[in-house]
Amino acid sequence: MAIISGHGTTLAFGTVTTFTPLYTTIGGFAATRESLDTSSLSTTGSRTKVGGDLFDVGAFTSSFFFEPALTGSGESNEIEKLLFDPDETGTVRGSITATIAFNDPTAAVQKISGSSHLTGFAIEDMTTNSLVVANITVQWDDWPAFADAAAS
Amino acid sequence: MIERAIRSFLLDVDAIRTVVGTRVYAGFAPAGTSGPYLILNRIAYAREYYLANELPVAVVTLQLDAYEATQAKAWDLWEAIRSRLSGYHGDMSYVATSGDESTYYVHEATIQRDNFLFSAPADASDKWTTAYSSDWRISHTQPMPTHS
Repeated sequence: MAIISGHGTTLAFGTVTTFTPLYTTIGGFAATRESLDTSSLSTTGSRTKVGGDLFDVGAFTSSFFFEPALTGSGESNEIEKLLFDPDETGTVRGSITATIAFNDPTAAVQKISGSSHLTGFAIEDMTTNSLVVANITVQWDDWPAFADAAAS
Repeated sequence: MIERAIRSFLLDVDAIRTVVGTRVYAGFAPAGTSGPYLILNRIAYAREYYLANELPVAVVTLQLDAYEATQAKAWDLWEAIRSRLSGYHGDMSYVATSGDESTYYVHEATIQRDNFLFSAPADASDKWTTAYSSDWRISHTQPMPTHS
């Protein structure tokens, strides 16, 4: 077991090798489910509850320093290659595997990986005296796999 | 070193070079310095990081003091400096003593503060010292650490 820093964490998408921005944050995400109240008129002491049937796996947002090359057609970091299907012009890309790999000193690679789809891309305000940043938001299609060292 | 590039950038302008010559110093002026001169002092250096390394961009905060004989002359020298540097974005370079040229891309150069400085006569002198003092924030490129 090792406690890790976020530094060194990477985010990759499927076989896309041309979108490698300088990430400053790779967002965490949450899984939540309802807690259903099963109390009735005969319940005494405290309410009783039972967990809902399904977890709702949340999206995660990752921030990076914006580079003009992200917008240029044919540039190596073209965002459109990630947002749209490169083989079908103008078609929104379907699911793609997202992989968050941690910088764990005790293992070669430990990661969270699963099918996902992009739900957002935004460029923050451009102002004097600050670096321009952008972000993408990714939604897991379902529960991603947490790969341990042996499985990675 | 970005200060050397700034020095070259300022001295490329006639309105500055003809006044201060090559008298642009880091930290303090040598003993016996006479005539108008500039002093560059690095106040702070801010680094940025991304998840894999230090960013190839840094921000230096510099104090630039323009010394002249009178308040009016100090103001004129300051105006030439402000006209050259304030709001600039583009290349800055200098040639090292080795002959190698180093070039930085300056993302922005902005004034954080500026005001007159007056110092009373000292060491048997009867002359007041007049300067126009300014703090600058200059964001520029830098080599990324190689960890080798």
